[in-house]
Amino acid sequence: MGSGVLKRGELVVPGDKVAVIEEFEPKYGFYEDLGVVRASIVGYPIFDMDKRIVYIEKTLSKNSIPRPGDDVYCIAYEVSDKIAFAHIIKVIGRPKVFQPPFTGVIHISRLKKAKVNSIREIVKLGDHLYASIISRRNNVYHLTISGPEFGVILARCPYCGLLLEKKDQNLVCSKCNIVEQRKISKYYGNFKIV
Amino acid sequence: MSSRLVIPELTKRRIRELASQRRRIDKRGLAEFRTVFIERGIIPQADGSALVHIGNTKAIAGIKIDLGQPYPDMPNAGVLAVNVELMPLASPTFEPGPPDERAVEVARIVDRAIREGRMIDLEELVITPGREVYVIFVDTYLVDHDGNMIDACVLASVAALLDATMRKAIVSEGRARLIDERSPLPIRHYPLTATICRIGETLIVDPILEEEETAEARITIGFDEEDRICMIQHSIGMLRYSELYQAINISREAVSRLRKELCKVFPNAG
Amino acid sequence: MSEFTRRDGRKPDELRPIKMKVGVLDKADGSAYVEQGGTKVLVAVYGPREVHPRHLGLPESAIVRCRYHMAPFSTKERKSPTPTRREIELSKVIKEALASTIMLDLYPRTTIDIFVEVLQADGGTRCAGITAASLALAHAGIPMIDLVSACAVGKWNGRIIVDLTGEEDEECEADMPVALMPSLERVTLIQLNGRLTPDEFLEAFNLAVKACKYIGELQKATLRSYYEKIKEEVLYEQ
Repeated sequence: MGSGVLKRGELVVPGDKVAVIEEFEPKYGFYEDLGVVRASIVGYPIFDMDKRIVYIEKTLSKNSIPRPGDDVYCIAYEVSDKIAFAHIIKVIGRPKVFQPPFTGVIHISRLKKAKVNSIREIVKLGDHLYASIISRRNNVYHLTISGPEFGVILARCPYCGLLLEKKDQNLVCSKCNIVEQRKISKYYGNFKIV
Repeated sequence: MSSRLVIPELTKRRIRELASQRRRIDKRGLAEFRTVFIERGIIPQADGSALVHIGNTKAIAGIKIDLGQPYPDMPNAGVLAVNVELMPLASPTFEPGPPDERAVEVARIVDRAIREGRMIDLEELVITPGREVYVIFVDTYLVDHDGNMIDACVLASVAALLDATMRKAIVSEGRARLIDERSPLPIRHYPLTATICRIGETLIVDPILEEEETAEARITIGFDEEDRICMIQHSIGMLRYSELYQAINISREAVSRLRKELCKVFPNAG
Repeated sequence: MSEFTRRDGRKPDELRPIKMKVGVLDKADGSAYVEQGGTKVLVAVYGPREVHPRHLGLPESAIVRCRYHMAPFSTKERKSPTPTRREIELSKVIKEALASTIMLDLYPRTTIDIFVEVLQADGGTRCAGITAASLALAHAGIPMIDLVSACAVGKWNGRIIVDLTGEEDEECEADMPVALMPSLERVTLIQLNGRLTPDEFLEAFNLAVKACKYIGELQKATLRSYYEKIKEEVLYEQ
């Protein structure tokens, strides 16, 4: 966050007073009450002596919710021409698995480069996706799968249910010999959730 | 089941603004109850009954008294069963069906005010210890909800109990039988409550519905006729210590004014 | 003044021994266990997570749901597992006591679910439940303006006493559970069952404040020792 002189403080718990508002402005993990800056989560405060702000950079809890900017692992559960809905299972790089999953939407207007008439041409029901959260407008997670790393990372054959294999820019079923079209992530097949 | 009434944000803002000037949207004083109306004996079929209005909020309470068994752990006490129903006809947000947490909370508050306020001497209701006692059913219906249902339900229940008479029990061959000779209930104390809301830093008594939905905190405090505190329920929000003390003082005065209204109908009630 | 003794030999202002632990459950987002004398309470927090059914969600803030429940084996006689009116009411007041500290506007359209399970009941279960739930919320990393510490006070044999046992609770003239924010000094729950004069009320409330502050210090110490041991700082968040 800051690049000035940073000072790390002792562990704080919610309610702990760390400063008065004239000294430091509260950022993530802190708030002001009657001129006093107090902690709202457990963590080690970082005081930015130049910007006069105090914040917690790393939380001590594994708990989290998806936020804009996060890359997420999700599964499409409803696909129509203009919009697809996906269950957000996990944020890449964080341990928490969302149970129940959060709901995300992919709108066709976010797929300009793919030049498709319907989302159905590139994402199908049950596909596992690697996507990025672009916003939380109207309290809905808006996802995009534009970019080489994003897109389908796992899909099944519509007939036999076997995992499809990537061949060139298509997906094929080795048993049924059919070819499926998708917007494929470059991680297809060897994607590891971290 | 959605049970929130949507109050226009503009109304809420107006209420907050007025509260900061220590005024109210219906021009009442901060510690003033709305017009209180009490009518006793409206249901002759019941052993006791009362209709209560606090402004537009209306509640009806009916008492039925029967014979029954005491609780095994209290063989020397009569049984008091208090029930409150938030009737679907009282508000667009009430639905038929089992009581939700709001209804349960109000019922428990009314129960505690009467029971812990020692309104009725339950030991006087024993006919044969451990075997047969009077069972008093207090059923209170909220029929029109315009805020402050707790005080309305407590007032209606208390008034109905004051109105109630019980039939004399005669024991023959070890079994009790009720005859048509009536006497009042063994009333010992007269609990009443006042509900206070905090809007911003202002405390108000007897909130109307819009004030209740705007309020950041709500507390109900009950007093008996000797000004002892006999019930507290802090339902929502937070209060500073000083606000709590203030709430106790304000509610004590509000209850004593409410008691004057009750005394107009029941001269002994304080 | 002398020779006033309680059934278990405590002084009027003496609390029972208290044990607190956080992070006692694996699957929950936050968890805590509190023992206060014979009362044992286990709390799990799940969330913020998506609300189901979805129409229950609020566009401007998270909702809090709470279930206070007593295990059938928690009491002398078996208690039916079906929620009683008392449990429904306590679920509501515990929820309200905690909700006013949580920064709900940070998580619109989500729910925070709190499960308070009383494993053994010996007086003060709702207070131990609130104390534990507040620890579990802090363990779940949910931003809140303060912890909540709770303790019951009451009047027994004419004296104001703190932290009533189940037996004292049955015999007492008045019982008053209090929950408050130890740092911000604000009350989030107060209930009174029984009768107190205004002066007795003040004495009882001041005793409750003292007890809650002490419990608040224990809560903070519990969180500190837990996290100082863990040392892993897992997530980057903004």
